[in-house]
Amino acid sequence: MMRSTRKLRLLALAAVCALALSLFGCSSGSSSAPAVSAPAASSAGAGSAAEQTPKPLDFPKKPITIVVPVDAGGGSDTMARAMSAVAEKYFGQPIVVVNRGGAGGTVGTTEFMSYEPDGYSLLLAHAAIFTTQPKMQQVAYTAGDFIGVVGLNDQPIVMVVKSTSPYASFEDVVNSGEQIQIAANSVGSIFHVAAMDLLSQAGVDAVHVPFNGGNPGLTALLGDNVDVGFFHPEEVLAHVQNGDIRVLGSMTAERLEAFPDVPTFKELGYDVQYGVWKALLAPAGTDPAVVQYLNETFCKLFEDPDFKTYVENTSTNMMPLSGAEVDAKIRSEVDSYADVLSALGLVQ
Amino acid sequence: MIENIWTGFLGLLTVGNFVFILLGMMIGIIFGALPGLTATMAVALFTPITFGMEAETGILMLLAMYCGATYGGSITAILLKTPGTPASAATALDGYALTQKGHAGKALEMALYASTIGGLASAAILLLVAPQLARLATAFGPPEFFALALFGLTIIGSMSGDNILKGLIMGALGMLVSCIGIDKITGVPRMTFGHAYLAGGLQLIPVLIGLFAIAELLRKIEHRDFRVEKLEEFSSKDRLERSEKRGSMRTILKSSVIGTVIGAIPGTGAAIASFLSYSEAKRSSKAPQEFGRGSVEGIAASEAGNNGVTGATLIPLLTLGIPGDAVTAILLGSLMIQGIIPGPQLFTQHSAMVYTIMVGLIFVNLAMYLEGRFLLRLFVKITKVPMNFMIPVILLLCITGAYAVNNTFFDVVVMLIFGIVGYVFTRFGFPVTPMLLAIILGPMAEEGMRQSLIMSGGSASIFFKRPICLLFLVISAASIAWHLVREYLPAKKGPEK
Repeated sequence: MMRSTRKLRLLALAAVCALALSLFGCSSGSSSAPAVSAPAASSAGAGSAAEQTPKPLDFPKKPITIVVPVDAGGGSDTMARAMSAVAEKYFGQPIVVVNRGGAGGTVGTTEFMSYEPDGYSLLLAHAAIFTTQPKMQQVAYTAGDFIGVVGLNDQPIVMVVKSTSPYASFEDVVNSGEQIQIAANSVGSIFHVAAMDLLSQAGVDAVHVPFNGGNPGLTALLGDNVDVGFFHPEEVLAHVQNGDIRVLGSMTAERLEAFPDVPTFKELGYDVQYGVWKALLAPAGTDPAVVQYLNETFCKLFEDPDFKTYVENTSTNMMPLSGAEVDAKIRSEVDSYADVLSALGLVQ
Repeated sequence: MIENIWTGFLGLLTVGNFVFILLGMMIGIIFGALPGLTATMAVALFTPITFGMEAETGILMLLAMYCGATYGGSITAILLKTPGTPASAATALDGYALTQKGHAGKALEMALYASTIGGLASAAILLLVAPQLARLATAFGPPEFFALALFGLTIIGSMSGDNILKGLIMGALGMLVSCIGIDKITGVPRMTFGHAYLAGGLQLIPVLIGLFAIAELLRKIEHRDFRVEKLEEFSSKDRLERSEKRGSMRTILKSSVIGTVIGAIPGTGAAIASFLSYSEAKRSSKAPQEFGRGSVEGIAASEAGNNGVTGATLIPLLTLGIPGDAVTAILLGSLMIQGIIPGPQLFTQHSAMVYTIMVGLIFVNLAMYLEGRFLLRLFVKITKVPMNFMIPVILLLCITGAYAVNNTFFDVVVMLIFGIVGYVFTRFGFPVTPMLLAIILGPMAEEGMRQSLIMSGGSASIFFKRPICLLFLVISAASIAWHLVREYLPAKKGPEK
């Protein structure tokens, strides 16, 4: 066993060396800019030159840990690993990704509260951790236990049916008067809240069949087990291009670049606008100078060619907010979701 | 088709591909062998390294880790009764019994042999009929998942040893344990006592390590069973005989098919495939009484079954963009980062690359055989270390392994508690495997049933209207009847069938 451990270490070392070599060899000159909708990234200074941001207080002196409060393999995890792949160039230290999944992100978040506010531990939070989960189960944290470091992304939500469906538009769904079965992720997910908000506004009788994540729901839609599904555009893009799935509407403020013919629900006269956003947070009490340094350095990292390739290839919609903007976003959404959730009868 | 395969083969022929396949395989085997370190962890950890590589090379390296870890789980299962992954729990039953008889070499060889054939069969099916098998993935809706899980639970009958009742009690306890955490259908916390860690539910790996490895360590300590296994060098005496290979071939092939079918259905996994294969092999075996007491056929079934999943699980991933388990979910992320969007058009848009990956998977399995053969000699030596030295080492590995799952000591506590549970129950003749099986299948059965009832508005008729679902319900009933007949009819002497 000892021998295998040592071998493992050697192999890991070799692999890391290989990475270092290949990284420099691979400079993808990605030209077409991704659909970044950076809203008011003023203080964030995304893409500002400032090669020589002064390092405050010798930070960082050791690797930075990003706690991902969901299991490996989802969007949060992939994003954390994409950042860690290029981190050393910008921080002079590696970023370590730690998965701490469970209970919709609340387990990892609860644990994160006990971490030192020294800037070496960051939480990759998703919206539901603050907006929906605390309404559905008791949690030991509040938004005030954390401070925003930098906004990451905001993924749109679209409503889809199979191409064989009788519904050609959202109006068809509304006018049919039939009860529909929908797949919209798990109970209390942003998808679920968004779907129920829209369908109750439209007066559609809908039954939510809960699925643990987007993929089981997509399988169920393709297998004709549900009538309508709510997904991220990138989850269904390949099926839309292949003609298996039709998009009926998007919950964004403006039409999506990928589906220029698909109306937003705002255009159709419904007051719904939802997205699933993610941000990096630090424990409250972290030195503001450190937070500022982290924010600026992450914004530089977002402009890294390799990271941009990741953004482009995964249709990631970046949202590089400043720490204060992240805080404000969380506060306003905690309130707005509280109303929708109690209207839907989801508050425990 | 032939052209595509040829193009794929030519694309495979770079030095980088082979170097990284071999490297990934070695890492995978080691991750699989160490308790607590899983295929998922290996693939997640090394994913960022692949970002800078050619897409094919990176994906093949990750696939090599996946296959290697699925095989590697059998090594410690056989040598130390410490299955590295849940998919090797069934292997531990017979493998460890063989080790205690001084036949560790034979058991390891069969595990490698069966894993390789299972993996090769699965890779071949992926290469030849992936688009046709894609339909299997969407044919499984909630009612079908419920029926499949129910069928899986009936094999508690063949995992219970001498006393079915004790097996059922353990199964029920397992189902109860699997209820802990946030209810996936309504979002309500169950049996969490306001405890944040319990809200996440119990993790499978710490429970597995506890029930098997820790319980066995406690038993060894109780019996002062510190003897060194009477084992010579990896000698001709302890080699797999030709007749044993030939005798197990039918089991291996059948298990490969079971693994492949299970793998093609997203949301199932290698553990289920391994248990189903084991149970089926026992049912149709000429010597079912040997199962659990050191049957090479049992190892063959379990290992061919779990590696049979590895290729097939790529079918829904590549054709529909739907990952079947945690490993393929990470692979999906890696593919997308490389600019490859899996889905219906992948085979036309990126045909050369897809075929390189699929042909490469065959080489991955060959690499597994080569490296496995080499490592066998080293691994067998572990059994020559006196147990009073090994016990602290294994305990340390178990603790780090349980901790590594989620980086928390809570899981270490879970492991120790289940170690005591496993030790006490085993002491009184209650088998632990049914409990593990119920913990794996319980949530799938529950979720499937409740989703189905939501879909049908509460009517159970949904389970009888759908052909695949009905089929599984019928074979579940047949399986129960078969166990009852065996249990309660006067035992016939002589060979069955």
